Amino acid sequence: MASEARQLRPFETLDGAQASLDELVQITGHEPEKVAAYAGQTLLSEHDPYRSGPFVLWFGRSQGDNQRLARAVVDDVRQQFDDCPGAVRLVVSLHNSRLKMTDVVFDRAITDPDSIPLAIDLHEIGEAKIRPRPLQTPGDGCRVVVELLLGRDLTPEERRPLRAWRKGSWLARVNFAISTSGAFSGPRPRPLTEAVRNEYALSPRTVHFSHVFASGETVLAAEAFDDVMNFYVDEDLLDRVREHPFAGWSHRLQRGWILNAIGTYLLVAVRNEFFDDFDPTTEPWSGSIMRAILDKVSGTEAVPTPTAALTLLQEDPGRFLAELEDRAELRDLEHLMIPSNPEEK
Amino acid sequence: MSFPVLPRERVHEFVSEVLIQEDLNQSLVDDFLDRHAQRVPTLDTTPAASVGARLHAAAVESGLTDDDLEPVESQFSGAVFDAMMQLPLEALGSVDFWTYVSAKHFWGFVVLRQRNSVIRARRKILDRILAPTTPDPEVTEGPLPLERYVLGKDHYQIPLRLFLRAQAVGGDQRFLDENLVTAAPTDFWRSHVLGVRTGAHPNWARPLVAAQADQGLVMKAQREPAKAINRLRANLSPVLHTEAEAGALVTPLWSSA
Repeated sequence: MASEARQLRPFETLDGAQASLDELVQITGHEPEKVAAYAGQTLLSEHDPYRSGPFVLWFGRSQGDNQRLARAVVDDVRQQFDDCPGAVRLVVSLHNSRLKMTDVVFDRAITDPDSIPLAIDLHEIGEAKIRPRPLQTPGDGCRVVVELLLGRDLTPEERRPLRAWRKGSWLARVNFAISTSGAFSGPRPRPLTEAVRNEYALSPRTVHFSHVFASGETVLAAEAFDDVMNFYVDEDLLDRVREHPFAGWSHRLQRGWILNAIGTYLLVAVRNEFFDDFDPTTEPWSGSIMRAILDKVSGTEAVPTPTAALTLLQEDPGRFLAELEDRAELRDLEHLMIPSNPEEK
Repeated sequence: MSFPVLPRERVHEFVSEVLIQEDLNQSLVDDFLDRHAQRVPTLDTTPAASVGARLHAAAVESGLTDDDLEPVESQFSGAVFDAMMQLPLEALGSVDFWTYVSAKHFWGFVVLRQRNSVIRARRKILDRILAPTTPDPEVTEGPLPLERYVLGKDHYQIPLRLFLRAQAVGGDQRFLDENLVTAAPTDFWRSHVLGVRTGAHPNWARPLVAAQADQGLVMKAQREPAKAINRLRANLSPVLHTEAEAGALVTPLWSSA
């Protein structure tokens, strides 16, 4: 998923630092040499390691990468906030969004390259080394947010046009998820069986079928496709693709499925009675799948922001789908089917 | 560690089976759970049972139903929070555990607090029985109106939303009592506290609740201030603010001007 830096911001952000965070920050679990997640990705964990094992946030996986990242961040901070020493802080927080629990595990002013550690143990907080609450809830999983924030209001003398001044203003940010349930960002293909065909009166020639069962505000605010729709693919075909997940023909088929399912969802979404209220930048929509789709299509000169992508969807849906096809990646489908490859970024 | 769960796939069946009876007594619920819940005796849920029973008794005594029970919901939020926090976080982190708790220990309150949904769900169940082949998807498909108040998935569910309400203000029942929201309270809590990130940050939620208790904005008047706060927060991370600092941002925005 795209980073949130693509939003239109009312002040100048730390774009150099953002690019370095996107490229170099990773999280690992109990198999750090085998599996890692980059910004925007989900780290899968088994149940027991989730509640008792280590989770580490790396600012570069080697000393060299760490120094490169630290230098980029500090240079960016100094360039923009040179006369506000200690105003920018590196803050790491863990969140359980269903139980609304937030624990801050790291908070430090960025003053010099040594301010950026090589690694932070996410599984403990402070001197007492308490395990954060979101890492005690394997059923729900956890979101990890790494931010560069203003740690205080700037004084009137320190304020400048286009310079963020409010405490808490975020200047760069990356998100990760940790999950035990094979969380995924895209629609999950389910087998289109005889029973499903009968239930929905589908012809034997139907190969895919999307059934959007949600209605009302849920359609636009939902954070997972599973809460909105079921997506079915002919069971024989699905079996063949699962046997050969990396074959060229299999990739092409899967990309087609993504478009089919998301396209159906969009058809339903634009006809939703709350669509006129939808604003991708504010809650409750900013964490929605609708927003994730807009993020996918935005980030270019022609379509710089999610809001611009929304306009494109309304005014030129064919072009929107073409852009989406261009950006669709296999990891947009179910993770269980397409193992995430830590080398791929 | 193991704990009792009612799998989410069973919620539809649970509501359909229990509501078809005229008399909504607990033995129907227990009978269903005996057959379908996965109950492992290692976790003692007595704290939840006890507060669920007291909440039900208070609702019965009030003689009220639906949104009129909102003050009772407020009054018991702290007790639900305290009771649930005595249980392991691993259990609280399971949707299916909350579903079990709602069915087993809060059913009596659920059917009073959501009586309207009970009536609508019953009508739908009867329609399905009487016209099983109707082409109307409204009748044949989809969840029943009461299901989301039982399924532990989000802040609509009854025990979870009481828990979240208290947690949003730092587990402080006295604060809830002193800042009782009386204008459009159900919508206020659902849409502007529990349904958004404010609910995860007591330092932001407390001044907002206090402002609404003070200003008493009706539902329509809540919309613009809520949008203004969400817009503000799109650029602010709420993790570092003190309550006073968040209040200085939130309180001036929460007015009908």
